[in-house]
Amino acid sequence: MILQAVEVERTTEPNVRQTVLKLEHVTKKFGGLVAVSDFNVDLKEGELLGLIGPNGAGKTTIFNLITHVIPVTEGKIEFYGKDITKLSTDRIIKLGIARTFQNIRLFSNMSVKENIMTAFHVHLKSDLFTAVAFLPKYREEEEFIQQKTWELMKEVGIEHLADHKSSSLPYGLQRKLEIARALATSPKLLLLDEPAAGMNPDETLELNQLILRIRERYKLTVIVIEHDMKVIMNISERIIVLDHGVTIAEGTPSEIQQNPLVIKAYLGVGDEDA
Amino acid sequence: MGWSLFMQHLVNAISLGFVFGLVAVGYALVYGVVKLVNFAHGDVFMMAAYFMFYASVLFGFPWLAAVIFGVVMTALLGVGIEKVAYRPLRKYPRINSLVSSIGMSFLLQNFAVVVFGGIQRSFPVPEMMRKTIILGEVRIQAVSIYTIVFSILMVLLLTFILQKTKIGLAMRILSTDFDTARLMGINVDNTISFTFALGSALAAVSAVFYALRYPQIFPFMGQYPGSRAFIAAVVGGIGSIKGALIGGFLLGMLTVLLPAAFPEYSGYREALIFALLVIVLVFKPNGLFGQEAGEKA
Repeated sequence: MILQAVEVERTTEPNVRQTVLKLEHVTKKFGGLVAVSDFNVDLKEGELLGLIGPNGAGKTTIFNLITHVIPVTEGKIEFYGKDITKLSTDRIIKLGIARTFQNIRLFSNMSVKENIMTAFHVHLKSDLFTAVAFLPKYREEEEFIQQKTWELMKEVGIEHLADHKSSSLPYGLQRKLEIARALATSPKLLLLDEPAAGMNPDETLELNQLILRIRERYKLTVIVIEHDMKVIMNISERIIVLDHGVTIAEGTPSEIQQNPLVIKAYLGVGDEDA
Repeated sequence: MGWSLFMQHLVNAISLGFVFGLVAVGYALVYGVVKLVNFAHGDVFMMAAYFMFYASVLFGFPWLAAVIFGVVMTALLGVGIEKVAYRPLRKYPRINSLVSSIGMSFLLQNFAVVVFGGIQRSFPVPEMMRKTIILGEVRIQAVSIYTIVFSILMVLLLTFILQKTKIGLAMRILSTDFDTARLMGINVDNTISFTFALGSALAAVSAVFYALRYPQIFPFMGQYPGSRAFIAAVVGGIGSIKGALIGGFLLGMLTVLLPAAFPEYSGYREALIFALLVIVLVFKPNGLFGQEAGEKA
């Protein structure tokens, strides 16, 4: 019922990829400060886009604009051809966009399991009255949620911690839980904001695999914001580089690594990691 | 005090406890979700009594229909107050909404004086509520029994809504974090409207039983139970549903049982009650269930 929604619209031939997200001339000003200036992107189904840039470049702002946490100043945002620029956040989420946060925002007083179940429940069909009547549909949905929650916990490898308080998990696992919770809203587009922050190299490697795996399994289109070049360069098909809100480069990882503007603005001298 | 007299006082105390408790739950619900002490809550309670009064006396609704009409109208009033007085202020510091709620309280009281008149009116009390049940030597007011039974039903219904339904879950999520709630696909405005509807409906139900107990209604009748319930919510741990209920219960019990136990000091009733509550807060500064404030229920 919930994850099945993702299957819809997947019938197009693989070589004619549909546009999932389109941002046209998107600009955000905070007073006199231009946080994002004339940002454009045309994201195809199944694509994995990396968004990089120094601190304050406007990367998270773009996520906030897509999910309408803050309104755009100018420009237009389309999701599967539908103008979502002025839609409220909850409507956008229901259309199939999910995100995680740079600073983890779990429901800290709930268990791991409850955090994920919560995200499922929002899509529940049951209203007050079907629940009161204990109609079979309500039961069915409850069972469905239990089962899917379990699947998602296994997917990210936290099923053994199902009943632990989410705040008691180590940082890396909290990030994974946040990804699982985002998946529970059955997104078509997943926005990951610095998923590798605070992870050790092993965890980061595992995270790379996780991102690629869930993209395949849930047929996702993904945008990743990341400072860790090992993540960005390894998993992205395309990268957009921002600096002070301005798009300074766009291309494949190898193109980006050789772009003199990027090297100057972001990678700097002596970043052998990249 | 004999055993039968004690039983009479006890039933009376429990029923008043439930009345305060239900009003206190209204404070706790709203505080839990939007972190606002809604000072107009007691006046919403008063409006409920007038809605029922006019439906019954002026429009001739049967008693039960008048009550249902009153509950629905009060719920709508609560939603309207939030839309007009609190929602536009939501993005500003919380103190603004607080002041707005105090203003709303005065507005409702004065509206009632102008439109309904300042004189006391007799709330219609149906025959079945006037009865006295006699069990051996114990004489119990029927209204007390009805109050207890219906209050328990309301609490069960509320628990069910909060724990088992989608909107209840949305309320619980909203009480922890608005922004994340939005990103779980929750419509924040609708959920807050529902919270006010629910809190106001509970106030209306308790207003029925309060008015059956003290059948004179007047524009300032909400002040006493309103401030009582607010204190109950704080003693219970503001934001906690369980705390509000128990706080209200405690307050209702003390209100009835203290003067019954010490009739010679009944003039000091208020002083004694509040002294006890101050002592509770000295030892439990967050209220009895304050540590659960984030979790509710």
